[in-house]
Amino acid sequence: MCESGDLELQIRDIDIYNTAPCGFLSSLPDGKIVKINDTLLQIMGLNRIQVLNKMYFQEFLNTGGKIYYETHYMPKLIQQKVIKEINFQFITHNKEKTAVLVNTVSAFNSEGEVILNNSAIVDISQRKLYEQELLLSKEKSKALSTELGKRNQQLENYARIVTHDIKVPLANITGILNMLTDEDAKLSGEEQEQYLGLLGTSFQNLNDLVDSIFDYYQTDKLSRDKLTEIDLEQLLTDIISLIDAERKVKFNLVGTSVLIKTNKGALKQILLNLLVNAIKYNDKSIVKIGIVCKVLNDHYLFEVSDNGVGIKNENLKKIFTLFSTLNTIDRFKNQGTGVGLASAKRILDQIGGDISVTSEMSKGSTFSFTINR
Amino acid sequence: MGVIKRNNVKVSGEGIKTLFFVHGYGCDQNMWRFILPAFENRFKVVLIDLLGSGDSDVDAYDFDKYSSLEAHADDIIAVCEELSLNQIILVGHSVSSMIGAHVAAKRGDLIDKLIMICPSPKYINDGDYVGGFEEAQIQEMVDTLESNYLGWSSAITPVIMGNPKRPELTKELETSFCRNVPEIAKHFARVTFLGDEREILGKVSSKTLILYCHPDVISPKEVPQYVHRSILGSSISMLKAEGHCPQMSAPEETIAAINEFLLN
Repeated sequence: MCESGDLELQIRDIDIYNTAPCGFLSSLPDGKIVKINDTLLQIMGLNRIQVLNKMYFQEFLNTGGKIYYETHYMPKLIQQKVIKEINFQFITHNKEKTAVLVNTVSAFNSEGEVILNNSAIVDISQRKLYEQELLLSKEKSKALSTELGKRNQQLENYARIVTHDIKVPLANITGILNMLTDEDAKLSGEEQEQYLGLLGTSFQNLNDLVDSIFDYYQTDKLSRDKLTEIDLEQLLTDIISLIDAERKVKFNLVGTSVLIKTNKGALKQILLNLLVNAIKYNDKSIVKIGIVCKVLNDHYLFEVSDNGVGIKNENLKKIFTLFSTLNTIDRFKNQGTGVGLASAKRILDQIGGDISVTSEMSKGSTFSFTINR
Repeated sequence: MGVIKRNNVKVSGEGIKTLFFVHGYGCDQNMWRFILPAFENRFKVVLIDLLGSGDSDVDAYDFDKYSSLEAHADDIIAVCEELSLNQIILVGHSVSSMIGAHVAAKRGDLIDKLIMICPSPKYINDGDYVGGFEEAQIQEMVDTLESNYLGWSSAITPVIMGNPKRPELTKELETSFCRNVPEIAKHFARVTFLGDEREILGKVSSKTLILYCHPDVISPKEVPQYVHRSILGSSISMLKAEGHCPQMSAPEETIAAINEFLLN
C-alpha cells in the first residue's frame, strides 16, 4: 500500500504538460500565444518570455504555411471549431525548418464564444523525409508505367502489322508451291521458271521484312554506343560501296571531309537507310544523290537529297511512323517494309536529334537530320 | 448543366436589391454564413461556389479556360443573366475582389456597387510595387498544399461514403467545408497568386468600397491602398480585425462596414 501510494504521488508530481512528447500551444482567436509547453519551446529554440503574449502562431510558419493558415486552416477552424492533421513547416529561432502535424480544438467561454484555440503539435521530420521518398518513387513509377504502356501499345501494333505483312508473302508462297506441285496443272518449263521467280521475290520480301524489324529493334543497342571521332568521308565511302557496288549512282558530297564526334553505329544506320531509300524509290535513268554536312554550334546538320519519285504532301508526316509504307513499289518491284525511316527517327530520338523531309513529286526529296554535338 | 447548378448558386433573402457574394481562394460560399443573417431581411442574397471550389461541378473545370480570372467573371455574368439580375452589389473576398473588378469592367451595367474585401491585384513584389511575396514563397505555398493532400483526402472520404440517412451527416457536411480537389486547388493557387490584375482596376467605374485588415499576410496594407489609388472615387476602410477573413473572424464589424457603405 505504502509503495503504490508513493508511486501515485510521484506520478502526480510529474509535469505532464511541459514534458509531454508533443508540443502544446494555446492561442487567442487572432493567433496570439498565451500558453506553450517546454517541448514546443525546445523544438522552436525559444524561451517562454520571448513567446508569451508577444508572438503569434502564424509567426511560427513559413510563408506558404502563412497563406495556408489564412485561406484554409483559420476559416475551417472558425467554421468547425476543430481541425486535424494539418501539415505545417515551423521555422525555428535558428531559421531551421521542422515539419509538424497540428491538431487544434477551440475552447469556449460560458456564452459559447471561442476564447482559446488549443493545439497539439507533433514533430514529423522523419516521417516527412519518408513521405518525400514515397512521393518521389510514386512519381518515378508513374513515369515508368506510362513508358511501359506506350511500349506495350507499340508492341501490339507491331505484332498485328507483322502478322499481316508476313502472311501476305506466305500466302503467295503457299499458292505458288501448290501450283508447282499440282500435277494436273501441267505447267510449261517457261511457266515453271516464272513461278520459281515469283517464289524467290516472295522469299526476298519476307527476308527484307525480318531484317528490317531486326534492325529496328537493334536501334536501342546502337544508341548506347560510345561517341567516337569519325572521318565522315571514309564512313560515306564505306556505305556507298556497300549499296552501290556497281557504281551506277552519282554522288555529290559537300562539306563531308570533316572529323566529327558522334555515335558511329547510329550515324551509319541512319545514312544507310536514307541512301538505300534514295536509290530504291527512284525512277530516273541516272540516280543522283547529294550529301551535305554542316558543323553548327550545338549540332551537326546532314542533308541527303535525291532526284527520285518524291513523296506526296499528305504523306510527309506519316513516313517516320513504323510500318507506314506508302504502297509505293520501288525500282526493284518490291514494296517497302515501312521500317527504315522509323528506325532512323527512333535512333535520333534516342541519341538526341531530329529528322524532317521536304519533297516535290517526281523531282525528288531532301531529308535533313540533326545530331546534337 | 446550367450555370445555376454548375456553380452551386443559392438564392435567399427578400429585397429589391441583390447582394451577390463571391468567396475567395481556399474555401467556398460557407465563408459568408456568419454575415448573411444581417442582410437576408433586406436584400435578395446570391451565393455561388467558384468553379472548382466547394460543391461546384468540378468535372467542368477546364484547366486552360480557368487559367484566367476572366473565366470566373464570365460565370458570374452568366449567373446574373440567368437570374435576370441587374444593378447588383457584388461582394468579393480576396481573389474574388479581382474577379469582381473583371465583371465591373466588362459589364458595368450589371454592377451598381462593388465591395472588395482584402483585395490584391498582384501578390508578387514588382519594382516599386509591394505585393508582399517573392515568387519562391508562392511555390512554397503550393508545396504546402501538396503536403496537405492526405488531409484533404480523409476529409473527402466520409462524403463519398456518406449515407444521407445517417445522423452524422451534419458533421460530414462540416468537414466538407474547404475541401478541394487537390489538382484544382493547386491550379487555382497558381492562377490567383502568380497573376497580375493591376490593369483591370483602372477600368472599374462602379462605386467601390475596399475593406482591409492589418496585419494581413496575404494582402499587406500597401496593397489595398494601391487598389484604392487605382480605382477612381473608391472608398477605403480599415477594419480592426486581423488576418485575411474578417467576414469570419469579425462578422459584426464587417457587417457594420458594409452597411455604412450601402446606406451612404
